[in-house]
Amino acid sequence: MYIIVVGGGQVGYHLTRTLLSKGHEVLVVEKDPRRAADITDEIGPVVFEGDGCEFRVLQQIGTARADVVVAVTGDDEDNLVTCQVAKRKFGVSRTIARISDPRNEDIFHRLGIDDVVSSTKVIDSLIEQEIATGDVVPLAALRRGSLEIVEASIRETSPAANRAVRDLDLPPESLITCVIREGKAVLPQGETVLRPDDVVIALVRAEQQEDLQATFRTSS
Amino acid sequence: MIVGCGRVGSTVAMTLAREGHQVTIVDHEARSFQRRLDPEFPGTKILGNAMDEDVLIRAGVEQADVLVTLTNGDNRNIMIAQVAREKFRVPLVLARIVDSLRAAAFRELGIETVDQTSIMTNHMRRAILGGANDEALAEASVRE
Repeated sequence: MYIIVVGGGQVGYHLTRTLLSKGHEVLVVEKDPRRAADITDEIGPVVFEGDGCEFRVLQQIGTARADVVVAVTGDDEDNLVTCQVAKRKFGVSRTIARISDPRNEDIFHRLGIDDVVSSTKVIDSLIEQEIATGDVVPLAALRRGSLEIVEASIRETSPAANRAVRDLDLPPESLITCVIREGKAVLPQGETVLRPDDVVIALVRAEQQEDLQATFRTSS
Repeated sequence: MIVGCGRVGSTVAMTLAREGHQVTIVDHEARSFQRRLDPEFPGTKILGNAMDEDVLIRAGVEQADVLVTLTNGDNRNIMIAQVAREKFRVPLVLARIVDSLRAAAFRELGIETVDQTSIMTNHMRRAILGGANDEALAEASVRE
């Protein structure tokens, strides 16, 4: 695949190395001449010195034949513009943007960016997983953002313990898709009764995640 | 609602406010307000980064009829304009863009862009050569 990486900071640098090691054709675009020279010294002639937000630069580096454009500069707005221009003007089928402000995820999806990666959100959800056992923990956001896959462990004291799925007070836009019981995945029916130590995987609309929390959490 | 209290932003804000419109101006530096706005500026000043949706909401984007974004960054203006339009449904959104090619690209995507470079070029050309066809020139500089 031909992959264009815009932004030669730490993320762009390590991403480029990783992709090269897998045999992809990679070009990294970096506007700071010193940084561009450093990367060239370290990994070879895979750097284009220029501003990846500029139409002309994207034209020069053959963006139209790129399979993927990844924008990983430290500025959300630059990553947005790069991906939008790549997609709309050059017809790139897959664009990936890094964001710092996790609140930008929704609008980026709405503006046509295929994948949005927020390290802030990833780290936050790892911390949540550490501290929130027994609660509803976000696992992943589905493409286009508004749906979340979450998991919840059922404790003995949970209001959902020993109740059938159909009798749970679930928020209207949520669905229990899988129950993990003694290490095995069970596809639940309405009559499936949740037991303590079960882990429930559910799909839920992002705004209703807190309501789902109430379904499973032990009230203290 | 005006985003960016530079020379242009402050002048647009003061002009419209003087004409009786309800104007809010947003900037992330308090100093910009002191330096650029009349002490009697009748509008509202909101201190904060307009890339932050909470700041836009605090400035009343949900009630705004018009949002003009005039910060120094083309990409910042493009992003703020799209957030205002797509998320907050502001009926009229204008973005200042200095790079003519970028202005043209985003105009095609439906953003009203004010292409400062082409406008200046036009004015200069007319001042030098007398009344010429603006649009033909703007087009030419975009295709360049």
